[in-house]
Amino acid sequence: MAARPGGGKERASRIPLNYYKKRDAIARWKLGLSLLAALFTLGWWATGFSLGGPGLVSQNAMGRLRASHGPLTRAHATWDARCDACHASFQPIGDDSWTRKIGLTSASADTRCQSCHAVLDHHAETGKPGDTALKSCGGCHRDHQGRDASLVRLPASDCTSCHKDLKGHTQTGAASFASAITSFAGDHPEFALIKQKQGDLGTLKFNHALHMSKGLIEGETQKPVFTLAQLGEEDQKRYAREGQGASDGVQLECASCHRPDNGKLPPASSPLGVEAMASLLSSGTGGYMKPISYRTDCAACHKLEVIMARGEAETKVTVPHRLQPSALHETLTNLSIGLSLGKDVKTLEKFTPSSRPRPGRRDEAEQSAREEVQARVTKAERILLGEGKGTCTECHQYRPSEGTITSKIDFTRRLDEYAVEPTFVETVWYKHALFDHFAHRGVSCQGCHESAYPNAPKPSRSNDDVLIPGKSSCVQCHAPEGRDGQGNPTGGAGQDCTECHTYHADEQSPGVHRVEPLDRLKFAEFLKGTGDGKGP
Amino acid sequence: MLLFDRDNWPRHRPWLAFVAMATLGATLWYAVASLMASRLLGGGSLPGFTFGVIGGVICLFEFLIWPRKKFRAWRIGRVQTWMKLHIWLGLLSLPILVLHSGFRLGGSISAALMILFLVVIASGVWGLALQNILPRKMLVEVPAETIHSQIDRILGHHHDEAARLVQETCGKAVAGSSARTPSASSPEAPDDDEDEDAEETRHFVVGAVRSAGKISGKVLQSRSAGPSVEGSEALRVFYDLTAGPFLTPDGLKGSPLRQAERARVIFEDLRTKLDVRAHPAADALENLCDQRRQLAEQQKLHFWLHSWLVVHLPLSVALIVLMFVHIYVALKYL
Repeated sequence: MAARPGGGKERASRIPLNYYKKRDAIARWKLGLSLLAALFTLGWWATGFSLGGPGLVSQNAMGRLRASHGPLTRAHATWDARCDACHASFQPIGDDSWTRKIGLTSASADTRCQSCHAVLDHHAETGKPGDTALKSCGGCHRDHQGRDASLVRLPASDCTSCHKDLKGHTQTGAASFASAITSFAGDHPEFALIKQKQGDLGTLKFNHALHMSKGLIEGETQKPVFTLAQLGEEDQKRYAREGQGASDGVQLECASCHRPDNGKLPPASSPLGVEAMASLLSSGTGGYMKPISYRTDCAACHKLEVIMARGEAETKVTVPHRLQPSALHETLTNLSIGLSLGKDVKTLEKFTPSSRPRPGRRDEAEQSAREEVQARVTKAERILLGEGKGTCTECHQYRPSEGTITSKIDFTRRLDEYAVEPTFVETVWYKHALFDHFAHRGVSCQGCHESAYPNAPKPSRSNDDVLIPGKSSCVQCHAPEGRDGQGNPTGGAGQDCTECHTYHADEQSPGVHRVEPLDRLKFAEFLKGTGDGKGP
Repeated sequence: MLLFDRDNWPRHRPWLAFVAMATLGATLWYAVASLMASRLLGGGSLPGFTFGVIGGVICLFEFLIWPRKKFRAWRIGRVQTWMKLHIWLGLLSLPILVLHSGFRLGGSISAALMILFLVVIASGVWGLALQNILPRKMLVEVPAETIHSQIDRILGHHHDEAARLVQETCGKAVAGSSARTPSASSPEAPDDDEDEDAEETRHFVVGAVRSAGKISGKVLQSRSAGPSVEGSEALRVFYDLTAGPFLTPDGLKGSPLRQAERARVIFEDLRTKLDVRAHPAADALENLCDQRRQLAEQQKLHFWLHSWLVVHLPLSVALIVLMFVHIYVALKYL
């Protein structure tokens, strides 16, 4: 029956009771788009496994790339889309505490790393077994940080997790190093080299202050200035500073002798100065300085010359470096004989017996010639092995066959009883840390090696002085950023342990052993990653 | 009832405190752990993983409000409580999952996931703001509010009622007049028999807005038509040319009655042309036109009130799907 117009039935039927069963436009859009979103999302992920191909990325690679949370470092870029090269499915690559607690270890992933990186374990034998602080490879070397990210520049916390309480992480409860280090600027101990005050064990006599003084003389003195004119022509060019003439005193700089190990000498004409140029040299490393060498660093000034006289004629002869006293005697004898032979034919005759020699008798002329030669040799030896400038003794010390090391030779004894003591000049002072001079090229040498300069409060005049800076010098920069009392900026440079230290210690360190490399892979296997548990 | 208002705010206050405390606690834990590690920890660390699990569970719970609203008959907590949890846990998931990410977007999947998550949260907050503002506006500005999906049907009724009103007032329509011709769009268009009944009973229904104190709403009113009024042809003409088309679903565009003030002037002018006995009919017609404008406003507000869900819901679905992909991938390449 139809509703009567104007009646209650019409009023009730204005909106049908089942109106809610029909979706409106917005509801239809919501449902449709939701289904589409689910399909699209799954499709986007799934298509990753079917896209790609030779020349782009291998099949399935795109899907894996989508799983990657960042590009691998350049060295590992080959395996950017080959997760199995490093990852073991459903096993952690880095041992975080929570994964260990549920029984997951990174052993499989570590094996993959070690198939290429056969590094030394870090005190594996001295560390506590099962110590959660001892990390897996991936626990410290975190990849997927971008192509240029370093896997070895690690935050200090990776080290201080143990080193803040080292005794608590060793089997014996003892530590051979400082046992509580939490930061470099804070509780890192003074460098052992400085703390132990053992001095320079080298024997080369050297006065840094003198060598850094103009004219190689210190203070007010009547001694003559050592001028550029006293150097050879080539050396004059090398040591002359801008605006200097031949009559000017030689002014050495650090870089005059200490050259970075990149093998290049700075051009002498550099307007920046030799020292500055040396620091700016591009190099393979340039981290350390080359060992000091007599030939390249001393010979220009310290010529091993001696004057030999024959009659009124004087001849300047140069003896080679690196001769022991006995060899020096032999060399001087030869030079002396040569001097005699080269100047006078009659002398030659004296060395050529005119008649058959008779036992027990010596020709007088020969005897005279021998004495002349010996006299010249003795005089030269006294000069070269004696005391004073231009002698071996000026720099070297001697070890007699009996007795202790000495700076003087007793000429009443035979020369072959003495040996020149090796100089033992250190080339690398920090034994447990790395230092890179090249990285510090922006800082003046004087900033760290102040005592080498004559104007220092305590200039170094003895080879016993160690001019290597202590921690206080480093923390001027390698400390938290701040301001000093005058408002000057302090700190701000890197303070992580890896700035100076390496983790995988050398074989001499206690408790380390070399991890044996696994079987090597074929080239093709290496490139594609095997995924069979062996690693790349 | 609004999501947030002065009355229910005390019930939200504990949740606000909980979210603030949880955020603070999580941030502190993360900050201390990151400081100890000297790097921003990611999802693989203990705090990162914990935040990931918590965030994932929250996301799942958030998503469950959809089926909960779909199946209202299920007795698993009041929808109001669910909505409260949906809002506050959703807000809590933002800091939790940002901390889980370690402030990095990571690879494609995690980046897409984070972007989806942020858009979902943003659309949710946008929706929350709209849901808190627009219903208040609707209550004030649209007293004639009806069920949104039935607006076209109601408009059909209004059109028919107006036509009947005009016919009852002006008498039989002359040829060519549309008055007394029920709207084609009206699903409830009375047939000819009913017309005869209506003519016989001379009663009809008119939807009108009535106010009682602070409450105003739409009521249906039965009216009895009086005798036709001589000289009310102007009403028929006005209906045919202006009011009739305006009352159809598509009649809003270009109509002078679209603006309330202009409509008031037009009706004032109409009344001057009509006999005073035809004024009640003009008033009723004006009332119907006013309702037409309100329903148009309701449609607009309804669009803003619900259209954000067209973004929020599909992206939430994508988020949940991608979250499971992320969980699988993250655990596989742990």
